[in-house]
Amino acid sequence: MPTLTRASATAEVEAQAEPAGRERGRRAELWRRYRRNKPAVVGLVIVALLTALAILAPVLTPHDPQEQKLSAVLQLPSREHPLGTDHLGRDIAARLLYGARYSLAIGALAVGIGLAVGIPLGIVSGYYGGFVDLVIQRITDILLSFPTFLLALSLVAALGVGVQNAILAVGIGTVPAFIRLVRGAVLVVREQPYVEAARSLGVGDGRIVFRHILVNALPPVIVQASLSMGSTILVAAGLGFLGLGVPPGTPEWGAMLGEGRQYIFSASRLATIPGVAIFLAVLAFNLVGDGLRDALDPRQRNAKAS
Amino acid sequence: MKRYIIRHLIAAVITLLGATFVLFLIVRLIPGDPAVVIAGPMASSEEVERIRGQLGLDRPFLEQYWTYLSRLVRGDLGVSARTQQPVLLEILARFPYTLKLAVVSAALATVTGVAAGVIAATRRYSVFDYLASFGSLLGVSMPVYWLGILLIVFFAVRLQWLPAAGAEGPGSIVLPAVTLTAYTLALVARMTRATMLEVLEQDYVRTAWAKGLPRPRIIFQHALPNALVPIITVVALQFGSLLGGAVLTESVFAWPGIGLLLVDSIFARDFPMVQGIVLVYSAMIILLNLGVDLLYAYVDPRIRYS
Repeated sequence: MPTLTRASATAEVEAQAEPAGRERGRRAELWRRYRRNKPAVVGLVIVALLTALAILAPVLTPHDPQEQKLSAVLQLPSREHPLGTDHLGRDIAARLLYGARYSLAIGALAVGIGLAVGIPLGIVSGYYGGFVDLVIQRITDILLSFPTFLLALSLVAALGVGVQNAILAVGIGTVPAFIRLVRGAVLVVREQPYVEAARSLGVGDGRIVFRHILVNALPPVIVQASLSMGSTILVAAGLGFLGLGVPPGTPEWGAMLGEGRQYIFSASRLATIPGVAIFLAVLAFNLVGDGLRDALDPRQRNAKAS
Repeated sequence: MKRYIIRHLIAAVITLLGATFVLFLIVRLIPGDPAVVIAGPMASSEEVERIRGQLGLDRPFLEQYWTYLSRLVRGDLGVSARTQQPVLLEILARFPYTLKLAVVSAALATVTGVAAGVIAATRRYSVFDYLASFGSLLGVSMPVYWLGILLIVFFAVRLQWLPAAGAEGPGSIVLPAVTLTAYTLALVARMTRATMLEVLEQDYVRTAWAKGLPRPRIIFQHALPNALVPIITVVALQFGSLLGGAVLTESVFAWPGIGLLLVDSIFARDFPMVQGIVLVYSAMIILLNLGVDLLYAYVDPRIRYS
């Protein structure tokens, strides 16, 4: 791969010239690699589009997603209702747009829980080892012995239905993967000569962890975060589908699908349309995750290209 | 070898104990007074007291857990709050359905997934390879409940070939099994392709080609057996998410397994039943993980003698 070598060589020269340019060069290089992966670019475009739709929902539709119009139930798509109306006369397009807010926000916040809890625990477990490591690893094992969806389901069963509870229930399931990942990365980086050098220079634990270890553990965490977005959206929508996620009536994609399933014999689009949205969102985050993995880990990319 | 087995057995027992503790905790997470919540809004105060006594909620926390554990060891999972029947009996009555669905799906996913992966790997960069990669991406992104509904709409409503729900007649398992297969099939195909590509580059495979052995013999006798161990591992470890997916699949198709029982029990706030079912799930997963660890020792001498 001669072009690549040249590109990284340029990055090296830039780096020597100016430290700020080095960071920029690295990012440009990353973007160059990412861009080459067409499916990953498509995934990124879908993610951007869904985010834009979620933010602009009030501008894009004049309808209130909760407003019921019992005189106009189960209408076919029309100029006023581009995707028709549901069994309570609510505008499906509006519910879909506002639903993007729920699905994306629940996914993002749940992954946020995974990061906020998983990264510190993974660092402590990997960096200090010993008894703490043993305890954290056993807890991780225990959490992993519940399938993500069942864990979320059991938590919601106890906590009750609600947006916050759904986020918490789904988020806890993402924690073990981040603990494992960060711990593994820390174990590798901890033994590197530059960390040893820093330690022998008397650099404190905190500084070593943040300046040297965390930075190097970050790429796999970013990849996992993107893939986790896909799976949390899937799990959260699954809870919604069963009627155990958001409160009834909330325009969340999974809940829409669940409510719509009673009409599969008469108006199947009530269930099929929100399904398309969930599918696209999950697919997009999976594509972005795969693309990031290939771009961030040149070793694997070379293996793939060989 | 003995030490290896004992170590893993102990780890499995600790994980199982941990799982029982988590499940025990989850019921205590119920906001407010669990006895009042479980008894329901219509219950008399005697009813609430009876449930409090039954759950042992009036005794110290650790004593409660000890009682719960010692009952578990004797096979006593408690009494269903809804039907007043022993939880274990109800689970045993419904479990065969879940097992049947899960085993059929896992078998279907393994056979088709391995076949697809082998073809993709041996005909790299062919149309089939791209189709298989694209197909497995769709498979892992597809919400299982949505796929189920699409299949019902098409095969049960439009074509009327297969029943839409229930477990009567031999045709009834087809749609739920296909639905549940998709995700695992996609993972197995991905894994098989990657592993086969690796194995096909090994020296012994090159030797086999050089000897002029026929192509099928090289693929099926020299390469595939060596790729099978990681594939079997993935299938076994994926069994957990398969069981999670089975909850949704059973719910979509009204398949009378323990997944449907779980969802019904959550809505009925039948906590002893919820606890019992989730415990059965996690025990199955812990046992499977143990099985995989022991299988490793059996096939890999490096582990056996270390």
